Amino acid sequence: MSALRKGAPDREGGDGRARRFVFRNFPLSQMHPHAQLAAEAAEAAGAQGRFWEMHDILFENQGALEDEDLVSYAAALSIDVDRFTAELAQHTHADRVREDFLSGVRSGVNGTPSFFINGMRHDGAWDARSLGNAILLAMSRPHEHGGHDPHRPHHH
Amino acid sequence: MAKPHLSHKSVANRARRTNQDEQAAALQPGTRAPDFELNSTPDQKVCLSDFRGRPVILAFYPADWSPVCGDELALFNEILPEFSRHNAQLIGISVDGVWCHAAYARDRKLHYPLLSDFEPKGEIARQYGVYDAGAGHCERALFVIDRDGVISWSYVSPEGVNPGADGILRALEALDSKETAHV
Repeated sequence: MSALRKGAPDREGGDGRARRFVFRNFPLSQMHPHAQLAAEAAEAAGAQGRFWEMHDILFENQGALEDEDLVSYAAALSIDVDRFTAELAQHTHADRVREDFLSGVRSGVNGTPSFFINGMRHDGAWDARSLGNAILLAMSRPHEHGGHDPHRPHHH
Repeated sequence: MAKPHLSHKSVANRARRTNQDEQAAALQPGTRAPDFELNSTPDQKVCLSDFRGRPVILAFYPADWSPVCGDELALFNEILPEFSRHNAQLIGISVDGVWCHAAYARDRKLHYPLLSDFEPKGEIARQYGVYDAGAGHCERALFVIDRDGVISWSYVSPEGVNPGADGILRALEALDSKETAHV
């Protein structure tokens, strides 16, 4: 996942074309009881400039998402842990996560993970090769762009 | 060049029927939704007419426990508050038996009824034009039915694709605007 993202940051690729990787929260909190708070944790870390670092830690530690775990990850990132903990307790970022979720639903997101390339939902396989090929295919068609809600950029 | 050998009957059936055929076979908007009475639990039955006066969302799907169905039903479970804002009732329907539904709903913490189109098998799905006779299960199909029991939107998803909920939400909003226009 981070390999895919690092292959397509906000800069030109070898062919001079810009690519952007945008992330949206889509927690399925009935199925995954820790998902909502973990998403808020990522947003709280993001508020202190460490969104992707927290995202990657959470992704690598999906079996350890208890409250104490989230706080330990914040500490590992050397962010203000008191501020982080307070924001989780007050659910400061819950609205943002819910907005992401609902805007995702309206745009045709059908589960987690869900990949869109130039606005079109990718219904094929999720391995790196299949995604890479789908991206290359989309890049070869510069004028095709699925119409959905405009995405707010989410990279720090 | 040799033609591909289609040795399995259901594969042959699916190869002949395209998603376009499936869309055309499903009951279309403007049609009265056939009433039904199906088990929701081993002891209880649910009729479509029970919900007259509210929009109803029917989600036909192939099988409990299968991966794509699981994603779709879990997604709808997360979006129930949005459906409730339109006072809409969501109902899932597959050919699985009542005990299978009970176990599945408990495991996935689903908060809406799953009905068993079990005996005669797939009879209701047939009436809605969404029974896959070759495979012996329902297609993945969605219907939004208005307060008067008339279908206002229907959609058959291509095989293996979870359709998401945006179509349902748009259909519910269209119903709301129709209501407002008549007030």
